Amino acid sequence: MTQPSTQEQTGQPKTEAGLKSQKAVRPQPTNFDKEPSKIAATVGVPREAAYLFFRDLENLPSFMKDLKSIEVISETRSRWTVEIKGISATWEAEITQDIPGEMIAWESVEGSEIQTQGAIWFRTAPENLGTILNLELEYKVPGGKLTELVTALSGESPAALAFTNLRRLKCLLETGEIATIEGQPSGRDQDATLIEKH
Amino acid sequence: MKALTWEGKQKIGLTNVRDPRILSGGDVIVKVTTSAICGSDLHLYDGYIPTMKKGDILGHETMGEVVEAGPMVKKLKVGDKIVIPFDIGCGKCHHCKEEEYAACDNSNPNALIPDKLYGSAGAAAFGYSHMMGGYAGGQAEYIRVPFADTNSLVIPAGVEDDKVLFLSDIFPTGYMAAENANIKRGDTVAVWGAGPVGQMCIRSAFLLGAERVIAIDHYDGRLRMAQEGGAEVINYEDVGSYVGLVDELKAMTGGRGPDACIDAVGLESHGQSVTAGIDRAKAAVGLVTDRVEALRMAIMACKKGGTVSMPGVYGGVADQFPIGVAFGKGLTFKMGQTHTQRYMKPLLDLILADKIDPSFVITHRVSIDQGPEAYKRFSDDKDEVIKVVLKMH
Repeated sequence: MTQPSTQEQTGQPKTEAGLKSQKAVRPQPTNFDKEPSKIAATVGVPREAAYLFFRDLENLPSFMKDLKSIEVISETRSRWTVEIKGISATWEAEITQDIPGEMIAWESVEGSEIQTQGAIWFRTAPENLGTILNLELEYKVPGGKLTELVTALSGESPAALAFTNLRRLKCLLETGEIATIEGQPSGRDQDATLIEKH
Repeated sequence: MKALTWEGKQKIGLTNVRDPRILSGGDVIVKVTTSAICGSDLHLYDGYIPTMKKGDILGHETMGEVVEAGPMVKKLKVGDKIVIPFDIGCGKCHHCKEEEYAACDNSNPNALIPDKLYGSAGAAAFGYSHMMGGYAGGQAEYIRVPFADTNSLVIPAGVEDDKVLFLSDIFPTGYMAAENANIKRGDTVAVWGAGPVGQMCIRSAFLLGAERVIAIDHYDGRLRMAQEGGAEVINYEDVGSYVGLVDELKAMTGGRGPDACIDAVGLESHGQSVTAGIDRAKAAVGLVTDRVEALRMAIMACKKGGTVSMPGVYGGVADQFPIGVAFGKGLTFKMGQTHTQRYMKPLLDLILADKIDPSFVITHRVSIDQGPEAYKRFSDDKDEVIKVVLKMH
């Protein structure tokens, strides 16, 4: 004799908790131009707050490594300046897609001396974990005098830079600070002197 | 200021460096009064931990007086006497909120390295390699403490340093190891390694209700201290380090084996068996990083369904891990860096209530000037030298 409830029991969980967490992890809107980057972090702030912080592009230099400033020119246009080891470069970027609370994509305008593009995706994390952020950063090496700068900018790879910048963003949003050791003393400093060694 | 710096394998420097300063709003600067050399500092000394750089300031068992506080610091003020936990929590990420401080998401600025090596990055620590954040340590006259509201415990006036210093690491580490051992009243607990952490495990196991604790080591000086703490002791060189020891432990426990086994040795394990010899040979040529003889013995001796708790530090890969033995007996394993901040306050209360005085473990007190020499003595004479504290000012 079959139990009438068998089919239900083998289906998706029907408890309230089960439904909730399924909803939370289900991919949200699909009207993105491209798939979210695989560089992801879960940040303990609401999705709207994370989106609004990032959408104010002038906040970006506070956590993006080597980004000296961003000047907002219009609703979608901004001027970016990076500086590494005394070399600097400036370009203008255009926001190419902006879905409030969900994603922002941008790229440098044609003819910029550095070609770069990036995107960030915002999704609600399960339970009380906040927001899942996915970040993509691309720097195209144009050759010539800026090659060295771009190589320094992207470190090992654009993925490594995106990883580090995303961690810094998470730290800033969660703690109001960015973990750092830059400026602490060590025996490698020029003014350090070894008294004795064993 | 003066600081002890890592200058290469088995080389410690006494170095004059700049004083630290506030680098972020949540920092404090602490004038260090007392600091200690940890057994895990010897892993650095012996070159077992990757990503150390010459000139790195050592030390992660530190206490002192707050002399400057950043604008975001809420709970501390200048003049407070604090103990500083060895691992660094941000206090705000999901893991810190769950009191899993050693799993902090945010404190390690070099997270990319452990993310690639371990799959994800744990908390940073003071004075313990760039993979662990590269933070300057506390074997120095001053230290900068980030996220200071989270990484501090204020000590009431009038309590002497030596009584509370070990809240920074080894007492919480020993206590969490005992907690991880799932001790039930009446249990017998075996502890491998009667070094400072092992000594704290022994005392903590009794505090948590163990009826018997058996300490295993090959240094008589350390075994004597274990005995003073109420443990029965085995010098494994007397019984043979693998089969002999397992037989001895089973004989002492009615044929069952200890209910819980704690490996307080970690990655530089000694031992005399064939596998221990292979470990040493492979470690010498860089084929493995972690010598796991104590862990193998703990797995072999533990009773069916028992728990193996691992406070001993491991850093890489191990060979000849007896997975079949662990599976066959249905063992539970618990391990990992200590969530120090979770334990500091309750353990301070135990100290203030005279339930325990962790200063029993101190065998040597020296000034910072004698620091480099103290490392060498700690490394060379483990029988006599159990715990060295450095007086800074």
